[in-house]
Amino acid sequence: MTPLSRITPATLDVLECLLSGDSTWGLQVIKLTQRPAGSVYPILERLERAGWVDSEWEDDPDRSGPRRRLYSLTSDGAVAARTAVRARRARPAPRTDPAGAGA
Amino acid sequence: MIARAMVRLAARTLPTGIRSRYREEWLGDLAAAEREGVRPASVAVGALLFSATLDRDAPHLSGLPLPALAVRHARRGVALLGVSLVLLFGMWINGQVSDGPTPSPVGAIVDGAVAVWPALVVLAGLGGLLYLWRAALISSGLARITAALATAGLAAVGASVIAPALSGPL
Repeated sequence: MTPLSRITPATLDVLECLLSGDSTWGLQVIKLTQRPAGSVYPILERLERAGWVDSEWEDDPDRSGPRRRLYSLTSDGAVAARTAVRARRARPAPRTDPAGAGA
Repeated sequence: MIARAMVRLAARTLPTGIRSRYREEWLGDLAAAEREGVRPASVAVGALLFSATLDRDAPHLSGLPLPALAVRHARRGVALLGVSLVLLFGMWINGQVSDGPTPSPVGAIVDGAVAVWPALVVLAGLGGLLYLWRAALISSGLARITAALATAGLAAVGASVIAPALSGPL
């Protein structure tokens, strides 16, 4: 697995989505992250190329038509994704009150 | 219908190794888009953007290690620059021997070709430079200097030859 040169907020959203469950497919990621497909598809490709994510075809003989491509984090990818998402949560939120929280 | 055509078009422009995978993946997404509350056009635009922004020089997509890929790009760049120079030379020769429109049918075809000649010179030259720069960006500093010199040389040729040719007969 190779580290990502930059992790954008959209990438963090995708990672958070992948962390929240088992394998998921591209359209589900688009829906859950509310990010445009034009962001999600390249992010998934970049994550897969970097070894953070694995993908495989859905094995469901009951479904007809084109198969779904299921994405899931690799074990190393899951560790790195958790670290990246935690780092975002730990970042202080933008302050609206310059004087502080008033406590 | 239009979204499907856009997805198929986007897939067609992908490298052969990943084309069928993404075609099926996107068509699968498209088939379920409305049910999932996602606009099909968004999936189609996403596919087109994916294709437009894909790093085609990545070794896993091109199937070639970067040095071999640089050599391939450089070879194409030199070939296109050669074509551009040959066309330029032909344009110059034509300017030397031609004295106004030729009355024969063959002459009419030649005159028609001459009209688009400068555009072909420019297109071949720019294509050649594009390939040289692609080679240079994944290669050594020397290659970048070569590409920069080729760009400066072609710009000089363009300024001295193409511009007068476009403004009037040679």
